[in-house]
Amino acid sequence: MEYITTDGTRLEVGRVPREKIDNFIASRPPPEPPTKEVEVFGGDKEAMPILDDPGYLADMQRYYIAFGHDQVNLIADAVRGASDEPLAELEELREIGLGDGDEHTAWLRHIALGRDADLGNVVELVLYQSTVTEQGIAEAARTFAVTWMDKPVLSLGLPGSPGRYGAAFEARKAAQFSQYSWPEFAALPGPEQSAVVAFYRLSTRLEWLANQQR
Amino acid sequence: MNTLELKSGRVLHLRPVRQAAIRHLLVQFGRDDLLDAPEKLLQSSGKAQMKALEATERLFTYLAGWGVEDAPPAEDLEILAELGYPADKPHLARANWLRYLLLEDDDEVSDLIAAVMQITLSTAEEPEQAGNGD
Repeated sequence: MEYITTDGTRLEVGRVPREKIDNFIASRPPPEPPTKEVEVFGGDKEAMPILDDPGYLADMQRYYIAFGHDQVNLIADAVRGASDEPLAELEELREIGLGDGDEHTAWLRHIALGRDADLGNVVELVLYQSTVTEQGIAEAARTFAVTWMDKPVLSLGLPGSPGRYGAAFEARKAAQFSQYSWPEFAALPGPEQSAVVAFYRLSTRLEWLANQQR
Repeated sequence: MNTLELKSGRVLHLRPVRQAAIRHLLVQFGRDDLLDAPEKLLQSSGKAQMKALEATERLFTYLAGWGVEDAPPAEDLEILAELGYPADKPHLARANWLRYLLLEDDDEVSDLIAAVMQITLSTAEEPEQAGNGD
């Protein structure tokens, strides 16, 4: 896929191995907020997170800054300049302590993707092509065009469940549902992985809706 | 139009720079609090601002070199060359021109830093169009 940055630089954007993305996310858990004990209904005590704690907010800011910085390392192998990457500007940046390390990654970090909007858009494109994304799921669901009483099935609200699971768990369930081994599933292009998850979501919801009618 | 008027009456034309470099420099020097509130830099005196921000030199060079649109005239580049600042690196030459020939004191240096940071961080909050396609 091609991406043109705010400054007009043309980039070729490919994919990274899904495993690399999963490891990247798993190895960077966000900071936990401090908690305070409060009395809840029935006199029980419950730990409530203090989300506006200044120390926690500062930690979150540092976390997002480090996350943004590291994201460039994650996607660097998947993003190339469509023509030769001009490096004269990088030399100037190096004189003021910017752009250390690998030339290509430094060029991406400080020049081609130095604006947050461009970095965000390119990270999204890499993820879309490499792993399951909500965009990919929505596109597949539109293609499948499954409705229930003339409404798209995924738009129907279902009763909540006390259980919670992460996206990686749902992806594994979806792979199993469509009889893919995990390595086979992870090797699929991102939109294909998303289509498998969309198929799983649609199938399980349809089954649930049908059961309600019996 | 983003501009900054100097004490001399000269008006500099400013443009937003890339956020990644600012962030990198501020984090490197422990002043990431300025990312949320660049006006903090203006809340102290010129001298204190300089002291408070260890990264001032580099930060100034980046913001002035990349965040000012005006180019140094040829005769000023010649003066800089005589002083030992080569003109073959356009961003660094612009920063040197501002630092050594145009800005009068630390207060103007601080004003320029804060002004470019302000327009950069406020621009970053505006939604931008993604320019991607197959």
